[in-house]
Amino acid sequence: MAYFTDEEFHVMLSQLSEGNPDGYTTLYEIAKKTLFGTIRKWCNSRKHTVGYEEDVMQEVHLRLFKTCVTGFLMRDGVPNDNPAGFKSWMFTVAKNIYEDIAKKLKKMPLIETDASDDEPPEIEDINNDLYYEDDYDYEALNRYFEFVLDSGSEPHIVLTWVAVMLAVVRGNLNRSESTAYITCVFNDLTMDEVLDYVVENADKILWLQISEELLGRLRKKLNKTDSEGQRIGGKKYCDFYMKKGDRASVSDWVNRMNGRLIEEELEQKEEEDDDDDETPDGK
Amino acid sequence: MTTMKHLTENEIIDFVSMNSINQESIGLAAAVNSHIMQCDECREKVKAFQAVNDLAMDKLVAASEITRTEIKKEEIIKYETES
Repeated sequence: MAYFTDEEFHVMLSQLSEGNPDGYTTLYEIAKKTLFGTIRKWCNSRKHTVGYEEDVMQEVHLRLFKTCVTGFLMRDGVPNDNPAGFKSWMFTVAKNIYEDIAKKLKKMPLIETDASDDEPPEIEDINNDLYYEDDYDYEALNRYFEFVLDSGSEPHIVLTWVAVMLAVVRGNLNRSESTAYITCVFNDLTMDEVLDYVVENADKILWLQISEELLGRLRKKLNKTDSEGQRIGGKKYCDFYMKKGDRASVSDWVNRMNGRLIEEELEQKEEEDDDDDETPDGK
Repeated sequence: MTTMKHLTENEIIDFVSMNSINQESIGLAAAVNSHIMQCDECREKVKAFQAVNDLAMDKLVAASEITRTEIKKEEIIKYETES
């Protein structure tokens, strides 16, 4: 099985730390030659994932681009110059993504408790105890939510983003529904009301608690005025993100979140429409 | 002493919400990752945004596999009827 050399790892590390985009070509190549064979084996081990190795690999590349620093290279605040550990971490990322895609494809139960012939082959050199993250760390998630809400000098940015995230977390919505739902809920809310939405929905999530101190700081930020003298808390969501007068438009946030899948759905719909047009009688 | 320009919330949100690999997203990833390799403050911030985003994305994917609640369906129908 082809793995990367220590030298290749160090070239990548150096390129990434310099902000050199070539670092992503190096990371892409390292990931592909290290993981692709195994991903193909996993995909071939379950009939509903056969042929999906390129899709899994693409998701893995994206995930590695986004989390290589926070997830491994600087995970504990110091440079993690450990090529073998990086390889194990990449396998863990790949395995998690493969399992997610497999679940989605087969609509499996979220947790598999029963080992069967359907199980993908184990990779001996993965240190699952060290890197495999199965359950959410709700205490940490609570801290992250608070940290995000407390950050930034422009409160509407983080407030609306968190509100959208909460809508998704609480909503049991698929991607298409989330667009309609979020547009419906947030379009006419003021920032004060968006904050109320966040508080109300956070209250319904057992592990999420927004402290009174943080709430006070957020209200103080919303009481400030913008460059036009308007109180930020009184401005509407649509004033910030929506095309005025066009209720059908969706916010940047939803577009960013749904991105490619909405495009795929639209493409699929167009294809279906084209198919309908190509009926035998030509109508 | 040099002054480091910190990442904005918009840059962080764009980075954590990246959903495809292209020239633009690689440029953004290169800029953000090189910055957070040096800047503890922004790295913690990116980690926090990533955690919240990942949770939402997990729920979004899971939601496509489970039965939708009647409440949400009603809210969407109401919206579609109004607009």
